[in-house]
Amino acid sequence: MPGSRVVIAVAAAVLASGCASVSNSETDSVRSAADAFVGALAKGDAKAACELLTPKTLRRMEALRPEGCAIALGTLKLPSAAVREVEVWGDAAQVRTGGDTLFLREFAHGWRISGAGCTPRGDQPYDCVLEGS
Amino acid sequence: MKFLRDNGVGVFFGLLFLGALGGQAFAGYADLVQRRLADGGAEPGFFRYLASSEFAVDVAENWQSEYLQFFLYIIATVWLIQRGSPESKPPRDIGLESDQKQQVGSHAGPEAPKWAHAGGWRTRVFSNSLGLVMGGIFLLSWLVQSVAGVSAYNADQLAMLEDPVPWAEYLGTADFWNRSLQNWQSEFLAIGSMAVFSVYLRQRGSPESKPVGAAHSTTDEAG
Repeated sequence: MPGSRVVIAVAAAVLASGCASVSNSETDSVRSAADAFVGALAKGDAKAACELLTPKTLRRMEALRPEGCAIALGTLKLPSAAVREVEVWGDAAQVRTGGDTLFLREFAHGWRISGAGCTPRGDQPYDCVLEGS
Repeated sequence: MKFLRDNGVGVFFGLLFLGALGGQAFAGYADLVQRRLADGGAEPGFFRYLASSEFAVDVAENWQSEYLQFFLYIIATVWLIQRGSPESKPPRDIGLESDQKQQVGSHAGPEAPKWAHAGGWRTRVFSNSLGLVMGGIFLLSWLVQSVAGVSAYNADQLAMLEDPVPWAEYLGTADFWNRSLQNWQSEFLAIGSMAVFSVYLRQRGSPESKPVGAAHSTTDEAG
């Protein structure tokens, strides 16, 4: 029955698209962006860390701290422990490091940090020191 | 031309399906772009959107409800009747009906499908093949909705700085049941109301209607 074969093929493609969010290359891209961010924090390179923020996070940071991201970020004392777990769903990701939970979004130029210094609040969104969501 | 005339229903609805799916793709993409820009994300590419869980879940949630509707209608009308509706059989035929009336086994004619007179499991499977395929597509579409749905849901969760949920937990979320039930209620309303309306209303020339002059009490007669 050709009709049902088409339906099954489309359904399989749709299932595959649902599972595509956990592909290895995406996970690796997220991991390397998170590595670069915590690596910059560990080295005290706040300018490099600021360049890894999403545009909205950067705008929010600079609206709250007129001295600019590169100076303000150093005062936030964000944890810089190594990346341990990565979870990717579509264009968003969550990364657990030794001392923090990071949130990332995907942009044309790569993955960027949308939340850092985050602590859970039960059913509420995480409370993040740095956030752009 | 003869092919088109003989397959008008399939071709017409097939083209409508493709047109509507294309329209949904463009409208859904525009909607996603708006939401992504509002929540601080990036504008996705159109073709990436077509392969995304956002598009898949919106397509699958409607598919599953349509196939559920027809599956239930096919199965329920074996035992349930609506007196006066051309969609219903008369009360004397309630149930699976006799082999003679269903033209199976030794009652199958020379042009009957092979499995109608094969007997045994093949006749049993063929006797239920419409329900099995419609029910199977429903279950498959609903599974796809759940898999694509958890992916889209988790992307939104992460964008809002919330934890993602595993698939099994997603099956208990309001998002999953809201998507399912909002489609089911409309399907059940449409098919139930059509069965009742067709008792009293007519559409001249349509096989879904009784002949215009047929009595309201006449059941199982298409015109």
